[in-house]
Amino acid sequence: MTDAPPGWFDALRVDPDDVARVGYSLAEYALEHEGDAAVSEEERGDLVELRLMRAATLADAASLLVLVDVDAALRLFAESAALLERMDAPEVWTLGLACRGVWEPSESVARRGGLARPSDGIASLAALFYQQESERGNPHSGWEWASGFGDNPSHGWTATGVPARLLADFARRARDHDVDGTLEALDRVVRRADETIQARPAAGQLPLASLRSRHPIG
Amino acid sequence: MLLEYGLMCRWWNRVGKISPAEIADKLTSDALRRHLDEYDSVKDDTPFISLTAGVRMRATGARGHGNNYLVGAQRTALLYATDSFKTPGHIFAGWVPVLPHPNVSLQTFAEDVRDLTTYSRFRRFHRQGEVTAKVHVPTAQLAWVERWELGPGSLSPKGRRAHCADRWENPRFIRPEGHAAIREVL
Repeated sequence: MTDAPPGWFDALRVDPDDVARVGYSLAEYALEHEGDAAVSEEERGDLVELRLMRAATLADAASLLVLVDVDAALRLFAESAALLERMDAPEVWTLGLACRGVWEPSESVARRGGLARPSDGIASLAALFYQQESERGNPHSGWEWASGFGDNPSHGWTATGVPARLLADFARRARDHDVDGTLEALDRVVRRADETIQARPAAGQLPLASLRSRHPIG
Repeated sequence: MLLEYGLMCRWWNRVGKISPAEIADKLTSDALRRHLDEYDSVKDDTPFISLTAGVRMRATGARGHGNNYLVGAQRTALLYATDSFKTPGHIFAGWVPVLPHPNVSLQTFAEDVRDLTTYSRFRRFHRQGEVTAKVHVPTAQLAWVERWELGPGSLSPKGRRAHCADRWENPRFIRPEGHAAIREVL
């Protein structure tokens, strides 16, 4: 299943088969060579670092596969998120959002006080995700914890180069069901993101807002 | 190759004979920058050898949130050795001495370009955890070489499962213990 438009691969000058090969192979590598068994009994203190390393490799693999095999990518994002949850790493929210609900914070985590708060931009998106889950009739998922994050970013930035306030603006407009405003906010997010995210089809490229007719939001 | 030559840079491999004067001319900061950032344009003439020692990456969380994470040396080495999981390949393990500050013209010492306190300029390929050797890594500094082969993937037929098929220890290897300025592989 190819999910990204062919023009995306042209824009970045990569072959979808190469993306698939590296993505699946990296996942194989993480599961086989970065598993807990990779450290000896004497090195158990390194287990946290090893799990973070495995989570990073799985997320890298998923980031590639999301372009060519969404189902596999979501499973790997979820596996990475589960590892980060065990490590109480706040990046878990980013991966949790990426896997579209395949992962959610577990009840046991909520009982012991929840996960660490993510950075501002991701906090805005996590709170939005919870709101959408609630509106779909699922108000008691693990995402409920994100409802308390609030939405008041100041000077935060995301790893993609996007200021947190732009993600907060996107989340606010989506929460208000402002379809045009949401798409415009998304365009602003993409314009401020790094070059990989900005890559679009070279010929016949369309602004994100033009997707409205095919992918209504709200 | 491990026992006879050690690791030689592409430039030496290609021309066959190089002189100390030529080496001195080649070991410049600008040449290192091009090796790191524009490798394709200098790959046949570079006097440098890219090694990896793994790297800790800054967490994505802003303002103190999050955990710094590790990109392991073996993963990076495997990607290069197998040409991104296309062919079998070899991974060498060894050590190189580094200085606590950059000095590209000193051939003996590798440059620890993954160290952000000394190489602070942004590098797109930082996560490769590169330590850059110069011209030659002697046989005595190479501990072993592994052959990694690729088999069918278990997750998808498009993926490849990499495994270490063989490993040769170097009897001429001299351990680095006791020397200064040696950093561990992550």
